[in-house]
Amino acid sequence: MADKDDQSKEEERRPLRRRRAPSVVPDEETGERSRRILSEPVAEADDKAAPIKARRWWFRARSEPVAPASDLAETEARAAAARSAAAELRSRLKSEEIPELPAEKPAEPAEEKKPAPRRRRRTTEVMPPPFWQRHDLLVVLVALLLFAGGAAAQRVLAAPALVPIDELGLHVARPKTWLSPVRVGPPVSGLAAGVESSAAARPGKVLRHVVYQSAVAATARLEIRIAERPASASLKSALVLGRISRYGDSFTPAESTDRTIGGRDWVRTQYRYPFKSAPGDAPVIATAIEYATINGRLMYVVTVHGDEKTVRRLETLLVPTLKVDPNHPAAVGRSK
Amino acid sequence: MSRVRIAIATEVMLLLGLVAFLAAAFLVERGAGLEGAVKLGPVGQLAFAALPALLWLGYFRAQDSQEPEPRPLVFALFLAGALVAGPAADLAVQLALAPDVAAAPDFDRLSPERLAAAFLVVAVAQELAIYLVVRYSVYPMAEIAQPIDGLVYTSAVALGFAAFRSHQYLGALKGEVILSVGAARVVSFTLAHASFAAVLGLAVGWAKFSPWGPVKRALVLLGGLGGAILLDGLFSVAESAIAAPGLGFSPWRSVAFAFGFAVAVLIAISLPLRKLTARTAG
Repeated sequence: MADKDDQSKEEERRPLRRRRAPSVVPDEETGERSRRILSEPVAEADDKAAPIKARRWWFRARSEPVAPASDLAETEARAAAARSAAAELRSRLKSEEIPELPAEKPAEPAEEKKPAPRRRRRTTEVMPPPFWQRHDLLVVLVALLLFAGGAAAQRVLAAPALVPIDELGLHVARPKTWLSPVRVGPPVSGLAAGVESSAAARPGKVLRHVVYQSAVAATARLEIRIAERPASASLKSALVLGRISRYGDSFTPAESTDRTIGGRDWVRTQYRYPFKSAPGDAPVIATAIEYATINGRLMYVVTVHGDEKTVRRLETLLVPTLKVDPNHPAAVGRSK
Repeated sequence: MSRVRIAIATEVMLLLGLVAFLAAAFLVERGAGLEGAVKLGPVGQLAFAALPALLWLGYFRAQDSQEPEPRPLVFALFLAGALVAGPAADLAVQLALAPDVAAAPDFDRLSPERLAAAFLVVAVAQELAIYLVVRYSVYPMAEIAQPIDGLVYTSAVALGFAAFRSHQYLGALKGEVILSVGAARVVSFTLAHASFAAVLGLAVGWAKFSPWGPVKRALVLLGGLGGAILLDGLFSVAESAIAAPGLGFSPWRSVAFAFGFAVAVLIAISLPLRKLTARTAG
C-alpha cells in the first residue's frame, strides 16, 4: 500500500513541477534542462548535503550540451527503477529487522590520515650556498685580517722608544731619538720687559727650564719648567701670568681643566700661539698642552708643543708617564 | 690570432708604448731646452697621469676584434679604479700608517717596520681595493665570457688605480714636474700595477670558470690576491732600494726595474693563461 501511495504521489507531483514558471535563462526555453534536473535523485540528495557544491554543479551543467531525447527517456526509466528500489528497501526496513551494516574498514581512514613518509633531503640537492660563500667573503675577510694585523705589527715595530727624565722630583719620559735638551732663559719681552735677569732672586724663581726638540718636526717639543711655588697667587693665575709674559697678547685664551694622573691632580691647559722655529722663518700657529701641579715648595709645568695632531700624539704618549715624588728634598725644603 | 696572444701582444705593446712615452717626454724636454720643472695645470696633470693607461686601453680595444669587450664597461672600470679603488686604498693606508712624530727616523730600507708597511699594509690595501672593485662589479656579469676577460677587466681597474697614483704624485709636486722624471714615475706606476693586475686577473678568470665549489673558488681568488700582494710589496721594497740607493734619486733605474719586473711577470703568467683558456674552450 505504501508503495502504491508513493508512486501515485510522485505521478501527481511531476506535472506540477513541469508547469513551473519559465526560466529567465534563454537556453532553458525548451524545458529539457528542468526535466533533467528533476530526474536525477542523487543530485538532489547532494544538493541538500552540500548546497555550494551543487550550485557549482548547476553552473557547470548549464554550460554542458543538453542530452538528446533518447538519452533522456533512458535516464527517466533508470530513475524510476531507482525510486522503486528505494521504496522497496524502505518497506523492508519497516517490516524486518535492521540488517547489520558491513563493518567499516578501520584501516581506510587511518591510511588517509597517515602522513607521507619523511624523505631525507639529499646532500646534492640544489640549495643556494650561504651568503658568504656566494660572494666569496672569505677572501675579503682574510685580506682584512691581514691588513689589520699588518697595521698593528707596523705600529708595534715603529713604536717610539722613551727615555725617563728625573728633575727635582718630577718623573717624565721623552722620546729617545729627540735632540739634547736646551736650557731656556727668562722671557725677554712681554709684561716683564725691561726687568733685569737678576729678578731670579725674587720669590717664585725658575729652578729648571729645558726644552727637548724633535729631530724631524720643528714644532714638536717637550718643555719642562720647575719653579718655586707661587706665594701670592693660585696655580692657575700663576700659569696665566707665565703665558702672558712669554707670548704677550698673541696666545689664544685657554680653558683649564683638572685631571688626575698617577694619584695627583694636574691642571691641563690647551692654548695656541705663533711660533717661529728660526728667526728668519715665517710664523706658524702652534698648539700647546700644558700640565701643571704643585709639589710642596715646587711648581711643575710640563708642556708638549706641536701642530694639532702632533700635540695629541705627544700627550697620549708622554703624559701617562708623569709622576711626582712628594718626598723629594727640593719639594719638602731640605737641601741634599 | 687567439685572444691569449692578443692579450700578450697587448702587454708587449704596452711596454713599447710606455718606452715611446718616456722617449717623447725626454725629447720634448731636450728639444724645448727645458732645464727645470714644467708647470702643469689640473688638466695637464690629469692627462699626464692617465695617458699611458688610456693608450693601453685603446690599443687593446683596437686589437681585440674577435670578441671585443664593451667599451663603456672597460672605461667605467678604469674610472672605478681611479675614483673608487685609488682613494679607498689611499685612505686606508693613511689611517693605518699615521706618521709618529716621536718615532725615530728610519733610514734602513729593509727594516722590519718598512717591510711590514710595504707588504702587509700598502700592498694589501691596494690590491684588496682593486679586487673588491672587480669582484663586486664585473665578476658576476656575463661579459666575463672567457678566463682572459678577467685579466682584461682587472687590468682596466688597475690602470685606473695607477692613473690615480700618478695624479697623486703630480699633485704632491703641485704640478711642478721635470717632464722626463715625471714620465718615468708615471710609467713605473703603470707597469707595476699592470703586472700585479695580470696575476689577480688570471685568478679572477680561473675562479669564474672553475668547476669547483665556492670554498675552492675562494681559495683560487685568495691565491691570486696573495700573489698580487706579494708582487706589490716586493716591487715597492725593491724599487725604493734601487731607485734611491743613497740620498739621491735615480728615476731611470726605477723604470728599468719596472720594465724587467713587468716582462718577467707577463712571461710567468702567459703559460697558465694559455692552459686555462684551452681548458675552458675544450
